[in-house]
Amino acid sequence: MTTPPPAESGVAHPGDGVPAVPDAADASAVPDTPAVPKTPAVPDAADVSAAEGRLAATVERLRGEVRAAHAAAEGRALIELAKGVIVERLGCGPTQAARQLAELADRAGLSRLELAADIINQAARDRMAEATDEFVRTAVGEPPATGASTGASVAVRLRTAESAALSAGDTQAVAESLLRHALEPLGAVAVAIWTTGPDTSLSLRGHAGFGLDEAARWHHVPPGVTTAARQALVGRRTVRYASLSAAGIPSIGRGPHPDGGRVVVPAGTGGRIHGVLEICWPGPLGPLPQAVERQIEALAELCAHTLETLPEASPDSLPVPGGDGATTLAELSDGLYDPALVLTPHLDETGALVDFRIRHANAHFQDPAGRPRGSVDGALLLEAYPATAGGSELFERIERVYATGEPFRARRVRLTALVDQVPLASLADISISRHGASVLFIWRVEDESARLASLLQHAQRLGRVGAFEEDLLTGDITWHGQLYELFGRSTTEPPVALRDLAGLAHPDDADTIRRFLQKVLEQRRVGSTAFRMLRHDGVTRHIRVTAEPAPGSDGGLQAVRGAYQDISAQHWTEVALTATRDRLAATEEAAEERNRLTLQLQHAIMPPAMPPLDAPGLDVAVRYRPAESDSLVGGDWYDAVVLPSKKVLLCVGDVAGHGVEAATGMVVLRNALRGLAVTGAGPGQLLSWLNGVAHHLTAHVTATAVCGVYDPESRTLRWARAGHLPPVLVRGEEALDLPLLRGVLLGALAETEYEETELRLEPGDTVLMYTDGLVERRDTAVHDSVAQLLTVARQPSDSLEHRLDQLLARSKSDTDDDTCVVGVQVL
Amino acid sequence: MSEREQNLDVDVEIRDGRTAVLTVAGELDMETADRLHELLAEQFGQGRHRLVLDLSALGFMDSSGLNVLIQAVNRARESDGDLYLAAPTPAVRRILEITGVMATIPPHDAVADALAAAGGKR
Repeated sequence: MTTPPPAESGVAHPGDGVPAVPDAADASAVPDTPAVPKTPAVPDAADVSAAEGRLAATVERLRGEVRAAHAAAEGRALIELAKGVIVERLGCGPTQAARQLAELADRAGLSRLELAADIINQAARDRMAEATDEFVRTAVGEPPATGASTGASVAVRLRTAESAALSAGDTQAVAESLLRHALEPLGAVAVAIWTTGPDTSLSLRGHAGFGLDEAARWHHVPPGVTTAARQALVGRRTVRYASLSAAGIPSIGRGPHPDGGRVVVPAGTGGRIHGVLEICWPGPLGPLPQAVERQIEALAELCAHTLETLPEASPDSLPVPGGDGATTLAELSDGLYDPALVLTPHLDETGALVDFRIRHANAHFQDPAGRPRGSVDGALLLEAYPATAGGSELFERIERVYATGEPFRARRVRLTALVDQVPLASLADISISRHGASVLFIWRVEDESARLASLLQHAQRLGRVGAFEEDLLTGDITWHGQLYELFGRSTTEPPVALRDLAGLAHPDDADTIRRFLQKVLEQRRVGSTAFRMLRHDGVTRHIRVTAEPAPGSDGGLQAVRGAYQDISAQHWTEVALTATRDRLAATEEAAEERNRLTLQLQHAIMPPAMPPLDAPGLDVAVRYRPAESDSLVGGDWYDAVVLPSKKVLLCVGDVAGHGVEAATGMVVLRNALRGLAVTGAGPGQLLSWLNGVAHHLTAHVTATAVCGVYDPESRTLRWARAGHLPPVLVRGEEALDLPLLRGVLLGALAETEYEETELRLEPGDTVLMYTDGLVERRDTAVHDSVAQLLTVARQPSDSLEHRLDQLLARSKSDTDDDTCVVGVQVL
Repeated sequence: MSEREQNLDVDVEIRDGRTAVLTVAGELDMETADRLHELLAEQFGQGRHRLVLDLSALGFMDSSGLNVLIQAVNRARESDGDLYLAAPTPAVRRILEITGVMATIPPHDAVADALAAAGGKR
């Protein structure tokens, strides 16, 4: 095929030297010829009757031609195809096309068959054509004559195999045709075509060259048996064995050719593997020329197309309900209690798998990034979850399951979702399986309560708290957290029953404990007391115990639940402060000193000076004013910290109550929020988690908080509030309070959600977050107090620090509450 | 603690075996919250889990007071009862709104409405 004239240019003038032929007659007489477009040569009605005689002759001639074509075996189909191409390109009739073909073949010095293959290659420009072209190109180095004939014969071979495969009624015929036309010339002696079942078993669907007995032995390969074909399926790539026995891999036909080489190729279309093409050589096989490899891959693709279109031969194959199965699967997935996605392949224009379409997000679907279901349903997987392509390799796993049908199940897989471009990782058990042409992806994020439990463990450790439960009927006692450590006992020792508590306590505290037990066990009321525990190891600890009775179904007392807390540190702080206070009470500076001491304690928890924040373009300042009365420390807190994402966490909160207990709750919540914020979650989610921490904390802690995450890059503040007064925005000469977003105070409900919103800031804008110490007044409605605050905030100020000082100085609170203000100003 | 006089009056009216109305007047704050807590606990202890709080004369409530309401509503609902708030003053209503408690315990305009709601619960 050195210089055959291109089909189009060589036959550009259909009239040249070709006698006119009654095309319409041809078409009606030969039903199996392609439909013929109307041409100017169509005879008018008068000519039709006159042409009847010639028609009979033409029919006869064409019959002869058909017979000849049959005699030429598979060549016929190829030539018919090439004729079809000429008919379409030139708008002529089939007979004319046949003549053109013959004439061109003569002119080019090729057989009609060779030219036909060439024309189809030109027209199809498909993978098969590439394979033959490449063969021709690599053969160019050889002497011209052989090169031309080899190239031509490859083209014929492949096209013959193709047309035979396409016209074959079953895969068995495809296998025979492939071996005879395409593979024997490459030196192969046998070929097998496997299909994959839904259970990833392999079935022999077509074979040639192995013999019937061997084929019968290998008609089914159960899942999990590693054969040559399975290696290609699982690996999703062509596998070449120089020698099957040397590789130690079993497969069909190993007996007669133990040292024979094999090439096994996955046969797939659109990212899905339908089967495997296995080619067997009689002797050891060296590396194949690239051109031959391409040729084999083209054949595998051909196999895939036939496997895809031919009906399933095996009667035991599982039918796929509802087309690609997506609809049925969607209904099924809605019955699952775990979140699930139904995915279908998304192909590009070349038919390659590029993504998956989220066809359905089930009823229990919960977006890890917190978006509503509707924004994910129908989207492309990589667009909705770009992180799946990243380190988690999740996309690759889904792709693999779709290709091979082999389900993937794993526990504690790290899933990453981008929340505002910040990756939020969670551990999940996942299951990916293929059903029909769809993939079902189910996951279960490690139980939320388990997550909370581990949070609580941290909180318990921080607060040195341990919970217990004692069944009064059976005597069973359960100790959680660090109670063994708190009691100085080894975990092999039995826990201490409530009634035995007095035995461990300082003798002076025995009465206190007795009253406490009486209240809980006899009056059946919640009780709490503090006592000194004398541990075996000689250490004395101050312990607070809180317990509540739990009635059984019969109304009697069934169990007691509660917690022990080591308050030694608190105790000594209180003692020390009381002692100092007493000493100072007489002096004139008493009040001042008291404040100083209180501040010192507060400062020990929250540093008085803001360490400079590495937040470009943002000025941050804070003020904390303790309550003026002698209540020691309030429960107010603030936090401003740069997160790993370079965003800035801003928070102000207020634990209900005063004194050391409120301060302890404050420390726990502040630290928990800091830790949680590192996950990159938004403020709404953070408050939701923090609510869980507060709710599960020791008895009845409630707190209000406002939490913001500021992104210096986009100058946006995302914020949410939990029962707290919303922040104030100062812009130019205007000051306004932000809307009252939905969100109940922390600790009130076991589970709740917080509305979150975004505020885009402008340079010069100031946002103030404050606790109600700044506005709370007994004689004034909160609304009026906030209005007064806004008036003060409107006044011009030369710096953020100055503005906060103004606010504190002019605040009208009269509730002896401590007060906290955080201000941020965009530079 | 503070020199302020404790300023809270609670009047308990038992309606039936399961229902009581507590009229809460004055200021519900850090110093007075415990009293209301005890009175509510007493009602729970006697098996009354449908408790109506008449807040029409309550002028002030702080976070400690809210805390008592939240504990009470949680406890009542655990026992298939509920806590009903009636006629809060604008100041208290505003606090309920800011703290988001209003969504959890929607207040009723009058004691009669609250009692009707309590009676309707089966």
